[in-house]
Amino acid sequence: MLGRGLKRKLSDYEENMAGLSSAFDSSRSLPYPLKRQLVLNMCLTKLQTYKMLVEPNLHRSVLIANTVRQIQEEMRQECNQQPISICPGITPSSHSYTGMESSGISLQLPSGISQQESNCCNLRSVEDPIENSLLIVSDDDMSSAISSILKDLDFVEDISPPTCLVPTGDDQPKFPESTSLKLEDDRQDLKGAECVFGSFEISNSTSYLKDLAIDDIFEDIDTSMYDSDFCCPPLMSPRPTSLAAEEPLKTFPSCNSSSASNIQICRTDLSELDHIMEILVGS
Amino acid sequence: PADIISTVEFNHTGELLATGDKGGRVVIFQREPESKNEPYNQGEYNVYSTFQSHEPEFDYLKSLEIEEKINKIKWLPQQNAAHSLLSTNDKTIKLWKITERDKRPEGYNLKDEEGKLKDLSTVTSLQVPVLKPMDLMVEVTPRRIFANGHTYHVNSISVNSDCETYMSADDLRINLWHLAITDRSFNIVDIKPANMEDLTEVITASEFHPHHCNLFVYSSSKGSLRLCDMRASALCDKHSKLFEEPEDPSNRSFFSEIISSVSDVKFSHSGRYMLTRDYLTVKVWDLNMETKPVETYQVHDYLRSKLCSLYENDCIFDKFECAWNGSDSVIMTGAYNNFFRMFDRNTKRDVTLEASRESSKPRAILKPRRVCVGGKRRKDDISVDSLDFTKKILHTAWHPTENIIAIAATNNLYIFQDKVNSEMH
Repeated sequence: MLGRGLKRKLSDYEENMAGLSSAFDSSRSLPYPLKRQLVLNMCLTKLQTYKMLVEPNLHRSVLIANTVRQIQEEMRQECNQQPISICPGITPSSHSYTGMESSGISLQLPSGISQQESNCCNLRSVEDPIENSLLIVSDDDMSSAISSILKDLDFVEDISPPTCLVPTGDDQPKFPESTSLKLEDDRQDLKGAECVFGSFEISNSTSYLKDLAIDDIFEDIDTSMYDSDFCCPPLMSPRPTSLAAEEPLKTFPSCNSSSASNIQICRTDLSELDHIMEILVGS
Repeated sequence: PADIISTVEFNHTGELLATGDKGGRVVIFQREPESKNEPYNQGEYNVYSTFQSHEPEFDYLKSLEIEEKINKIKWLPQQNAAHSLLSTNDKTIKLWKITERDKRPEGYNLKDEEGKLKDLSTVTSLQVPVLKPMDLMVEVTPRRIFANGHTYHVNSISVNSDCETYMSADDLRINLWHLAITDRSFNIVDIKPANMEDLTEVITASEFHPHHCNLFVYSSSKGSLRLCDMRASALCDKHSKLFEEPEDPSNRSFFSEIISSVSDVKFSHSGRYMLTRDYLTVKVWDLNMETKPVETYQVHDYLRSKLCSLYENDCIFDKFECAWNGSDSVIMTGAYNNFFRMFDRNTKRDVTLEASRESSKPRAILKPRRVCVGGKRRKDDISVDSLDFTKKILHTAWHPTENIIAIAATNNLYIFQDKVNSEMH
């Protein structure tokens, strides 16, 4: 079971990935979409690993998230350029099941390109090991992964009072606070140089407890078992028509696709990842 | 291993060299005074003092362990007989005072030599205690502890030229402190977005201008530098100057942004230039030109074709530092395989040297190394594929005036001196 603060042992997985990344570096014949997919998978794996850590490195997380966004943007643009744009989530039938038949686990990329799909299918026979070990994830999964990680970082890191004159300690009302700081600054500037130390951050640790609401303290309880990380935001995304179509893509054939409860899908997701890991390690 | 060196810094005269390690310890080396009697012993650095600066802490509110690793050490300019330095871990900055004691009073009336109270009936006369010489004792005391100023991890500290204030930077904020005041700090830069999901850039390093106490620079993970003027406004979110080089489209890859992240920024001694280090290059920027650097030097361009593997094993996130020599004519930075590189800005020549036990016998001259990328391979060349990426030289320092460099190679410190005025300098 994967919990907070525990690092997964990825030794076998890393060996596989090392082979893939050196293939990326050395091989010029690897097609660009495949290279991109490889990088994307590495990014998501890293982000996933960082989520397991109690305190992920903000610098690295931001860099990786930016890389994912960049790839995402590229894929979106390619999707928009396609004349036959078979876009997000509306093609569960042909693509997803072919994918599942051949590799057993790969979830088809909904925003993928139909031509690319067929290319990938052709490649599958030649570059089977590489294809099979790629975890193809949907667009929404990516955004939600980034969002949730950065959100978590905020939550974990910044319980302390924000840097402004009003030591409320609550980070929610961001805009009013920052503007009030700037207004204060203007007034301070007018008062002259002797007020350089006028606006200050009271850095006394006892104020943390005073300023937190009682509820906030208990928000820290780990509810990761019931949190929806990869799948929750898409369910809330404004795409009602594709919702029903997307669900089969996220769950295993064995799962009841008509069930729409968050918890069920999340538990499925966790076991899905476990299953994927098993297959990667097993192969 | 707790003795991995995490920072190296000479003081302003170069007489002292401080190192910090992963275990929270600081070791200070002192240069032996030169003597004509023993010319070969002149200028050697020996251990002067060792002390535990930071201990591991546990933040109970967030259930996080705070590492004791020393991220940065900065010396204060010496103002009296004592030396002072700032050392910081991820969260807390401490001001340490280093004093020498080489005399002690002897001849107290009420206490004997061991400090026990004398039997008053045995005291028949009064004496005035006298100072007698003793073995040199170096005492280090914590004078200030600047805590609770940072939510994120502190990556740099920099003492202002006014010698009264200093700044500390974490991933998203920069604080200004007065050296005498520990319960307050002034936030001067805040790049935290209203919504953390919108975060795309973090602060990676920052430094005060060596002469202008109102100017400072900070670098970002997107490869840009922002020069800020504290006179312009209280919150320096708006930069005075933005230094950014447009991306080279021919070199574009998935990892372009990651390798553009600036890991270190240093003003030149003159104050006219800035030196930055990103993953593959060092760049010299003129403060008067924001559009691009005036000089770019390739540190290990042969890694450009290995970026995916380096991303996979996280080496691409390694943060290398850079340094100027005293006259700003040579710049230095570390690389892998215990190699470090020097670039002469005037002659445009560069050299690769290795910091290792095998190649560094005392008073031996370092032999230049070469990494071959294929094609002709000379004897003693190292091929790219046999580079040891676990041996990385992240921290280097250059003596403020002389050609003495300190190189931290994992848990070993190498100090190289240039006795003869060679063509390199």
